[in-house]
Parts: sequence; structure tokens; C-alpha cells
Amino acid sequence: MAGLFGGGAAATATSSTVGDTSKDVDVPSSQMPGDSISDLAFSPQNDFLSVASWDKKVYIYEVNNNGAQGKWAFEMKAPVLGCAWSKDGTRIAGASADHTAVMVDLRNAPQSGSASLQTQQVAQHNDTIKCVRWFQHGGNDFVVTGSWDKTVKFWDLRSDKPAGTLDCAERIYTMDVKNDLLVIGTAERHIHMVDLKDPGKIYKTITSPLKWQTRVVSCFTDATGFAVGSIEGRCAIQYVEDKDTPLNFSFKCHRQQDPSARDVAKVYSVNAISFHPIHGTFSTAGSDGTFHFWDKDAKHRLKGYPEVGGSITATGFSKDGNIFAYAVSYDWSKGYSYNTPQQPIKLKLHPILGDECKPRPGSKKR
Amino acid sequence: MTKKKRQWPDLQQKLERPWCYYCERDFDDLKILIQHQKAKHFKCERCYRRLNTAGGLSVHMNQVHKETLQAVENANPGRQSLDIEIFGMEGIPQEVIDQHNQIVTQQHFHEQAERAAATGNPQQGFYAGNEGRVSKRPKIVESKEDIKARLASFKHQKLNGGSTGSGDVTPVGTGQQSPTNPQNSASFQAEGSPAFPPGMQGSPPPPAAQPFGQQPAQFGQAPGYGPPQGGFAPAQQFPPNGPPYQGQYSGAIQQFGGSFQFGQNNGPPPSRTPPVNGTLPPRPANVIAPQGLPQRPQFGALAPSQFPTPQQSRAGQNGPAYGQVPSGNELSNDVISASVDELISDAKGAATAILTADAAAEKKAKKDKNIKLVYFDESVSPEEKLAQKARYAFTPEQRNDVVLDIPMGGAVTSTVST
Repeated sequence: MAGLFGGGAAATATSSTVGDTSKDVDVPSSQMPGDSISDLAFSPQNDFLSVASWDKKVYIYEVNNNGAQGKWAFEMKAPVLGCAWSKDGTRIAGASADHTAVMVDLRNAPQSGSASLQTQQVAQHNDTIKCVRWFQHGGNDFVVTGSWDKTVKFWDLRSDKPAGTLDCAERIYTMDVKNDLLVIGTAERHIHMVDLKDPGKIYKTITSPLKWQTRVVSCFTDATGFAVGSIEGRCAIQYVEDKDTPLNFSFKCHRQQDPSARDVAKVYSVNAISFHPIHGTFSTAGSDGTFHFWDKDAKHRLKGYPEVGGSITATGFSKDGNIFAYAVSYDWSKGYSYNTPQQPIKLKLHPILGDECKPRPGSKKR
Repeated sequence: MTKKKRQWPDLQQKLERPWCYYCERDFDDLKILIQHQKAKHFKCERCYRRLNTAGGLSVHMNQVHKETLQAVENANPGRQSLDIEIFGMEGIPQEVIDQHNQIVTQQHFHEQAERAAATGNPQQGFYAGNEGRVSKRPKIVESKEDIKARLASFKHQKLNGGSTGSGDVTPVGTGQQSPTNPQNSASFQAEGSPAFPPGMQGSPPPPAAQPFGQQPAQFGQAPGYGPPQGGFAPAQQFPPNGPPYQGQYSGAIQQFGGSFQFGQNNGPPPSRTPPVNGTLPPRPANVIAPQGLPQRPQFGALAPSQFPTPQQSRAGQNGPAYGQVPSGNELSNDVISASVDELISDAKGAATAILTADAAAEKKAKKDKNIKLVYFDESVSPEEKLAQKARYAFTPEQRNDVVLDIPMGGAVTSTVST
């Protein structure tokens, strides 16, 4: 796998740029979702990991030194495509193809066991809800949902009517929140930015800096901008404010040389981008089944990892950035015929050791 | 863009080049010189570490390898000393610099002389036979009257709304108009047409080549007009001279065929048709027909050869009163230039369309060649495809269940219709 991106350089310097996934911990298959994993999220306060799956359930694991233990789960009426934790880590929301989003308050949850959790519906759209996030406005928690019905709605958890609705240009494919920044990526490559201090209107709309379908957006740790991943193995770093535009750039990733034709690169979709909560570095993961850590300020790849056996559909860092979780499932990128039971479904925890995600000290900006 | 290097740098440039004290090599710039010194003269033989100066290397050898440096490596004899601290061009004793400059200067002149001998060209800055440089474009000497006349003609043209392309306005350098013309004038004189007024001497079959705009002014100078006519007449009247005349004029005939005809008929109008030439800017484009441009049938007859169309010459002929002529001409000119413009823009559009199509195709091909998208549906996300599968399909019945389960029925039922 070395030589995928850096070419010869990466191939020679195997020890420093190629990471090791042998110590990654599997979640035991008995506790695994029964179908592909669509999203995962670490609790910002506790050592909980939530996983949304196409089997209509959201699973919550407790992560400790021994790995992950299944703790709770709740079921929805249709595949769950997104999940998110509230800022205080007490509640979790799931977004589903049944056009609703629900919330679970873990403070009322039974202490243990796989007992089902009591869900409360918080959102309603006219089509599948693709993503869900929490944010705080005026000291209150809100849920924001993005749907394929081309709207983003804000919910204050008390009313069945949305507290606000944003009409977006297209179906919402991806969404992320950090502090007061909400970024919405839609079909046809539109990207909306919303200032959550004023959630009633779209702060700015751009066309994606990438030429292909937007797959994922993810806000910087400092919320000054966001990263965009597209189906064409490319990732863009985009700042919100115009004054920072000179810092924007994009780079290729998740590409492989086709063994049959040397000048043809197989280009995989970038499925997930996660920012490290402390260092501000980030990960990309793609349909090619690899993930990489990058430093956007040095424009440097920190580490690349060998293929994990299947497409990576979701990633996340734990609250202190010591664990990187990634979900291996089939993401439909190769079409119907590849959707076989042989496609592995895995949930892996990668311990971040040493400097894996630290920006290199001496590395100058290029 | 970097500046193009002169093939033969002059002395100053040569003297300015940085050079190495130790081996007298010169370099394009200081950075490279320093690199050279570090690599050739200040490199430690034991550990291949590169130091900045000989002193530094000496200290390094002393401390790290417990050896003493005797002399600078790869240095010319006499320059091996460690006493002089050299870094780049710094530290070189003045007398050594002077010596170097002298050598460079000598070499420079030596080379130059050799080159001059080999090529037979005068040396740079010198001209053989002590004559100054012959400028290729003669100075345009215009008398006040000429300038005034030109101004008047320009104004006239402006008023008529005629084209003010540069070709019309620039001082049509006397004797410079077209390659064939000077020759013509020469032949005129050779044939001894004494009637040529001095003012017209330099200007060859003059009006012919002169742009339209100048016409009125020239007519104003009535006296000037007779002579050319006279000049023409003899030529035509000399049957014996016919052949040579034609031979000499063949160029002119080709170019100004129309005008020549005029001359035969009316005398003055030789000047009338050139305007056609002058006001048809697109010529060159026609002559060099770009590939990929569509045919231009209409224009083809008119443009490629520079003959005016029969229509035009007729217009000229039919205009008996002089005053009418410009308007007649202008009309046809306008019509022509309009149609020409149209044609050109058409052709241009077609050409650019072809070009862009080509570019797009090429780009596409390139893209196709180099990458293969594993997931290639640009408008639908994989999740949406997946969600359409029967296994994941969400049916309204289920949604009704939702309605029953959760006390938010109002909101839900309102959306069931979708």
C-alpha cells in the first residue's frame, strides 16, 4: 500500500509514514450491527461510542481499555443514517430513512444490559433524514437535521414544529457542526455555511471546490473552516472567511494504481473526514479501505495505513483523541453486485500512539 | 519568465559573474558558488559533512576527527592556504580580484576578435567601414504642408465616419508603402517623366497606394494631380515601351489592377480604389485561411485576390461628379465591411466552437484515460441508491405505525402524501 500517495518517497520511508493497524481492537462480532454501518460518533463527555446502522438500530458501546462493550441500543423504523451526541453527552439523536429523527436521554437509561431505550421523536421531514447534529444556541440544546427533502430544520426538543427551516439548494448529503459553524453539503456540489449565532439564514453558499459529488464535510477543530471530501478521491480544505481564501487548497487521496493499466488510477470516494479534537489534524477514510492522517497546515500526510479489508464508511476520534474508531462496511460504491454477505462489517478501534496525529514540530509550511 | 540569456554576454556581464577563489571557476549566481565551495573545497573527507569556510572545516576536523587540515582541497596551486577566510565572493584579496578581472577582460576581447574573424561580422559595437548602423526604417520627413494635409484628410475621414484603422492614418511613409511601389517610382523617373513635381517625387504611383482618406486632400492640391497623369500617359502611349512597362508594372497591376483600369479611363481615379484595399482590414485573415473555418463563398470571390469587384469599379466609374465618388465608394465599402465583419464573426464563432469542442473532448479523454472512478454516479449518492433497495425501503405503512406510536401524528400525517 505504500506508494499510494507519496509515490516513491512513501515507499522508501515505510517506517515513518505507514502506520500499523495490527494493534487495532475489533468489536466482537456478537455485539456488531447486523448490517452496514452508516455513521459513528464518540460522546464528547464520556467513553461512549454510538454507531448507526442500516439494520435500523443505533448501538451504544462503552469503550475502555479492553475494547468496546455493547451497552445499549435503540431501534427505529427504517435504516439509521446518522447519529450524534449532545454537547453534554447525556442525549443521543438518530436520523433515519423513516423521515424522522429521535432522541434518547441516557440519564433515564437502565444502568446496563442491552435493554431497549426509550426514544422520543424530535424531528420530522418529508424524506429520509441523512444527518443529524446538536448545537447550543442561547444556552439551550438544539438538534439540526438535514434531509433529502432539501431542507435543514432546527428543533428545540420541546415542540413538534421546527424552530427554524433552511431551504437548501439540493438534497442534503452531509452536515457538520463545530461551535457556531454549521456546514451543509448537498447534491450537485452546493455547500451552505450557517452561523449558528444566527441560524435563521444561510451565511454563505459556495459551490464545492471539488469537481465531483460532495461526500462529506467536516469542520476544523477551531471552526474556522471545513474539509470537503468527494467521490473522486479528493479532499479540499476550505476556510469560511474570504480573508483566508489563500489558505484553501485541495489534494488527492484514496487512489490506487490499476494493476491492469499502469496509467489509470482507480479513484475511490472519500467517505469520512474526522478532525482530531486536540491537535487539529484530521483523518480521511475512503472506499479503498484505507485511512490516513493529515496535517492541513503543513500540507503533509502524517500517516497512512494499510487496507483494512473493506470500504470505510465512518470514522471518529474519541473525546481526548486517544482512540480513532472506524467502521468497515459496504458503501455501495461498487454497485449492487458487490453487496454480498462476504463484504465484511467491522468496527475497529485504533489506539493513537505517540505522534501519529501530532503535527510534526519542525515541518514548515510549504 | 526568466530573461533570455544573451548568446554573447558583454564584458560587464562576464565581470559580474561570481567566481571561486580556489579554482577560478565562475558561476551563474552566488548561491551556486557557495554550494560549489561547500561541495568541493569545504567538505570533510571523514564524514562528508559540508562546512561553510575553510576555517570551519579546520576546526571541525580538529575537534571531531582529531586531525589537522593542511590545505584546501581541489584548490589551484597557490590558493590552498587556510589563512584566507573565503565565503562565496567574500574575503578575496583585492589584488586577486584585479588579477581575475584582467584575465576575464583579456579573454573576452580575445574571444570577440576570434568570433569576428570567424563569422566576418563586425564586432559588437563596431560597424565595418565606419558607417553608422543602417536603420531599417527610414525617417519620415514630413513638411508642415504634408502634416496639415494629413490632418485634413484624417478629419475628413472622421467626419465621413470611415474607418480610422491605423493603416489609414499613419503617415504613409513616402516611398514605403508597398514593396512594389518604390520600384515603380524609380522606373517612372528612369523613363524620364519630367513633369513629376518635386513634392511628388518620393511618392510613387502615389495615390494608388495611398489610403482613401487622403484622397480629398490630394485633390485639393490640384496641380499635383496633373503630372502623375502625364506620367501615366506617356507610358501608355509608348507601344514599344509596352512590354517592359508591363513587366515593370506587373506587381502594381496585380495589386492595384482596379485602379490601373481607372487610370486608363479617367486619369485621376487611380486613387479611388485603394480605399477599398485600405478599408478592408480583414484581408490577411482571408489570405491565410485558418484551418477549420467554414467556407465563405460570398466573400471568396472578392477577398483573396485584392481586385476590387466589378461592382465597385462600376460604382466608381458611374460617379461622374467627383463629390459623389466618396459616398458611392463608402457605401459599397460599408456594405462590404459589414458583410465581412459578419462573415468573420461567423467564422470566428465557428472556429471557437470547434476549438472549445476539441478542448472539451481532449479534456474528457484525458480524464478518462487517467482515472477511473470507482463510484461514478455524480448526481445520486450511494446512500440514496442503497435506500432504494427493497430491504431498506421505507413504506408508508410503516410510517403510519410511526404515527400511531408517537404522539406527533399531526405533523406526520400532513406529510404522508409524499
